[in-house]
Amino acid sequence: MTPPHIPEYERLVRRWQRERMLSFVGPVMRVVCVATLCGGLALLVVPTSQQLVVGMLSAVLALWLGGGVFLAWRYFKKPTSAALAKRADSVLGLPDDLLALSELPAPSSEWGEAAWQRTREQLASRDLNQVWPSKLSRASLVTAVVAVGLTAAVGWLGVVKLGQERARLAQEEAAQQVRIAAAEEVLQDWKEFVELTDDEELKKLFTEAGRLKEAMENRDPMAAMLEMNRIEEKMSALQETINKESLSAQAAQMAEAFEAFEGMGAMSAALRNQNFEAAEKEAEKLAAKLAQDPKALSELRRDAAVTEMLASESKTAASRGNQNLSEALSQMSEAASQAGKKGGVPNDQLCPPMKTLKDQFAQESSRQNRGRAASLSKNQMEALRRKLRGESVCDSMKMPSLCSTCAGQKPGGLKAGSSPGGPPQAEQTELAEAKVQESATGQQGEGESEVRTLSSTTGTGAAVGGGKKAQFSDYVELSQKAVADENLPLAHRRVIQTYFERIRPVAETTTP
Amino acid sequence: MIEEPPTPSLTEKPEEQIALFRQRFDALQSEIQRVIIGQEEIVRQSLMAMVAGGHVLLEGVPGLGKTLLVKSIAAALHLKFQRVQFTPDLMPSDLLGTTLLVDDGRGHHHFRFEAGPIFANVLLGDEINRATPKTQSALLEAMQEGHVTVGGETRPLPQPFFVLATQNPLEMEGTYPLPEAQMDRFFFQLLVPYPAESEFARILEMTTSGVRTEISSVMGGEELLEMRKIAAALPATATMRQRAVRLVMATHPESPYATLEVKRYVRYGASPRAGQACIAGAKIAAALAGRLHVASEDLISVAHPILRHRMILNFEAQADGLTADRILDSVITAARAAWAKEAE
Repeated sequence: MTPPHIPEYERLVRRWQRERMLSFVGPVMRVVCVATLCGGLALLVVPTSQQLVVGMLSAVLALWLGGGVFLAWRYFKKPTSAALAKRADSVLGLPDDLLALSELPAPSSEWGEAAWQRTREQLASRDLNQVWPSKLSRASLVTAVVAVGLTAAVGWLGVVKLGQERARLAQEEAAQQVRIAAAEEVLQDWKEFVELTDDEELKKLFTEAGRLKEAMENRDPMAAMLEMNRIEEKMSALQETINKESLSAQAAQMAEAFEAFEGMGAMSAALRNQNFEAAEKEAEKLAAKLAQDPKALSELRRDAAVTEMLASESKTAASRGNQNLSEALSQMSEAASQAGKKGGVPNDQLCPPMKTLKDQFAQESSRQNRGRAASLSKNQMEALRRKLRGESVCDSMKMPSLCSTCAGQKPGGLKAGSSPGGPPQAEQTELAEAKVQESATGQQGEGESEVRTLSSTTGTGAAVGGGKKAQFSDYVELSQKAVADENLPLAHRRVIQTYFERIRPVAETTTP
Repeated sequence: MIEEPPTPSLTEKPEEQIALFRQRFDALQSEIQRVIIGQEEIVRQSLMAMVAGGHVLLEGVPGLGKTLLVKSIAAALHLKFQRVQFTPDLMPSDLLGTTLLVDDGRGHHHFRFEAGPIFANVLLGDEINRATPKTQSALLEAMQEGHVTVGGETRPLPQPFFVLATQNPLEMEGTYPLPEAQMDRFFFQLLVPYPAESEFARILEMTTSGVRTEISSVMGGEELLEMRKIAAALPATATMRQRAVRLVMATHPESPYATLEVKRYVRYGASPRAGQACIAGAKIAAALAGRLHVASEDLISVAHPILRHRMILNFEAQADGLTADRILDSVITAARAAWAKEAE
């Protein structure tokens, strides 16, 4: 490309480029100043995250780079001959001489050459440094210095903030690790429980908790929460089913009715205490005993009232959809209605319903276990949720296994003094109800049977006498409550139950 | 009729040609200024219009020397001069001439064209606005085409041909303002100012001393035409042409280049003929400045006399007492600003 027909073209171009660049140093620096100042204020005022700090610093850096690129572009951009000529004419006070030269079609013509020669002479007579100075203005220089200072200050502030943010994140990460560890502990509980329990439905339910574990491992709290909600819903549904099928509501009435039968006192006591496992064992014993002597008669007191009570309970069971129980109670009611004439209830009439009752009690016992497991799991789930949210669970949930800070520092379940989360860190406490004994008394044939519970809260063996309804706090009940009510890990619950069974005193049986 | 001189070789030695141009112009002006005291700018612009081949409308109150100026120009140029006092009863034939039936004395009759005063190199139309539009229009063809048509026959006018018309802006009663078409044919409209105090004193001295200053002929029509060719050879670059176009367009209220004053006070802007006049006038101005090309300043220097009579102001402008020159000032200021911005 041939240069335009302008004298001292290259020199004028350099001057033009330098002026174009220098004229924009001030504005660019002002933009940098304002943006850096805004960024600095944002760092000071707005709650910053690591990304924000890095973004801010990157933006400032990018601004500098952009400004530099822009200035370089301004410098290296070649002017058009017309633009150069107009600018040079304006600055040098030439009456469109260069513009005319840049546009004359025939530079070799006489007119063009004459004009070129005259313009060259005029340019030669002028000192470009004087006429067209290209210096950075003082204001631009000051702005540039301020921009550098501001950038350094904001950079320092950003680095400080970054350090603080990293420390905070490390702290948060540590807290997250603690929460995950707690969650893993719960999951481990469930895993152990799955290995111990025979309940297929619970096994299936807890096995599905693998997804929760997966979410925890992926550090996806949202997925973990959703998974927990799903499991919790299933547990609630399970609890609802259990409550619907439960015999608990009828247990007291049935116990009162059975108490009138000879030899059913222990079963009645167990029923009254909602101990269906014991009731099942008693029913099994009774069934066996009744089967041994089918022709014998079992004494029945208050036969009319019992008949009515059993019939009523039979209807209730039927209305609840439990036909087997309804039928068994109906059979017993019918047998009781004829007891007055026969002088007692024949064993062969009591034996079949007793077997049915034994099965019903076994099912109820299983239901209770499942219900407790579901309830406990829900509690654990809630505790885990709070943990994941970073809330304290110590006061609200009392879940020692999920709270490493207070494990063992408070008295254990019913003052057992043992925390399932690890070795006790506090002194083991005395069992407050260590000397509770229960004894069921009855007699063969006619006569009353009664349940007596001996309770000693002080360990001195003071006997507490009373009627069959007044004697409530027996050992079995307390041990069951201890296991059921306390929020213990499912797997440890068996251990504690075994512990209570081992320390259970020998039953005191009094036969009047 | 003056023959057009052979075209000089304008591509050779432009510096010398420009110098020659300036020398002749200065000589002409100096000679005229011997008689015309002051009014340098008016004399200069009148001569510029004549060199460019245009006609001039001189506007000023009586007694400012308009007629004397025209007569002096004609005398200095050694050209045929005719003066016509325009009156309401002046007929076109009085101006153009008429065909007469002539008896040759031998019983033969034939038609002979009796040329009117328009057949001159320099025609002074004194108080042109006093003639009827019919007579004013008789000048149209002559001013634009350089010939007249009488009795179905077109007759060329002698070259160079200039119309230097005068009009009195004060006595408007019984006058016929020139139509736009007629106004557009005047290259320049010059407003003859009242002389300065010192000039006035000199005028009194000269005109009352009894000494009569005679103007000698400095050059003829050939030299004038040669000067016209030299000026026409000056290059006007595309940028200059574009600036001339925008300057003219800026006088149109609907133009994007129009200023607020133009949009408010101007009814019609200047015609394209004004653009031609701008370039032609700017070339003369450039040559006079010794430049070898047209510059923006040359356009500016001729903008007022070229554009002022080509803009038609609206009633609001008249009510506000605005003149075309005031509006042109805003146009020129805006144009200068735009050019300065281009140079940033």
